[in-house]
Amino acid sequence: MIDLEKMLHAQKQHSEVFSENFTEGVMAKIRALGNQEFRIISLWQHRVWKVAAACFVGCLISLYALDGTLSVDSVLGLSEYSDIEISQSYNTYSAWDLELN
Amino acid sequence: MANPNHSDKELIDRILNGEQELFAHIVNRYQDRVAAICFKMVKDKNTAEEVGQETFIRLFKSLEQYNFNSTLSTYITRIAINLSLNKLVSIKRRRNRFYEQEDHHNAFESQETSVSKKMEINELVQIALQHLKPESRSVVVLRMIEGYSVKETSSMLGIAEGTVMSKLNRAMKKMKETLNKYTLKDD
Repeated sequence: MIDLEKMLHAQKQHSEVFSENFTEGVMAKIRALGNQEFRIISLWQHRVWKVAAACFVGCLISLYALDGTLSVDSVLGLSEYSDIEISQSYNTYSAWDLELN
Repeated sequence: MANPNHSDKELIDRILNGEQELFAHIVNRYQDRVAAICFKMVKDKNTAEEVGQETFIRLFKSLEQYNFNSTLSTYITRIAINLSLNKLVSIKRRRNRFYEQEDHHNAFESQETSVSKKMEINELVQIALQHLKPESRSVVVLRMIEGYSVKETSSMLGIAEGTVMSKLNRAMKKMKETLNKYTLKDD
């Protein structure tokens, strides 16, 4: 007759152990983990600053653009001549051409 | 340097305050208990050691969340048993991916025939344990071998106390059948 309960209780006394350098292995992994986490955090901090700066500049540009003080012309260095002025000068030249002819 | 006899709470407080190296005392203090769980859950020595290391790393990561509601020993046991179950599931998945069901069955058969006639009781129990499903095995290990109460076992495994009892009854029945098979074979 098998006394399974007794056999199982006896198992507690019979226990295997990890290798001698088990603690060292765990601590090495924990140290590596600390360094890795620090690297990831610093990398993200660096990126977060860049992203924040880009967002800030983007906001400023949007504000100017919405206000009407910034246009494609001004970005391209043509801000001295608005579309209206250019079309007016074109008309003027056309008038001169007519007069000359 | 911390005295190895310092309480778990003192050690944890100091570790959380930056004295990371003191975690070695916790590892030394509880590695035998973790080994007992891992070796009974996962038979392979290397895998058991891998799960053991992962248990302590998981503990280290969750030290801030540990609120001393249960003893550290119970907390570690819970991590070890859950990681062992996860490992067994991933091993089973990998095995299913690469082997046909028939091969798996043959592996069990060869294991059975390789058992020597003069088998130690300990080996017999180990084989009977390995024949159980992982969850049933965890119930047997915690309740019958490690001696936790039904309530503690249910809390560690996150299952109802009734489920612990029914799983335990079924597991014990299956283990007896397996042991009978081996002892009859030996005669």
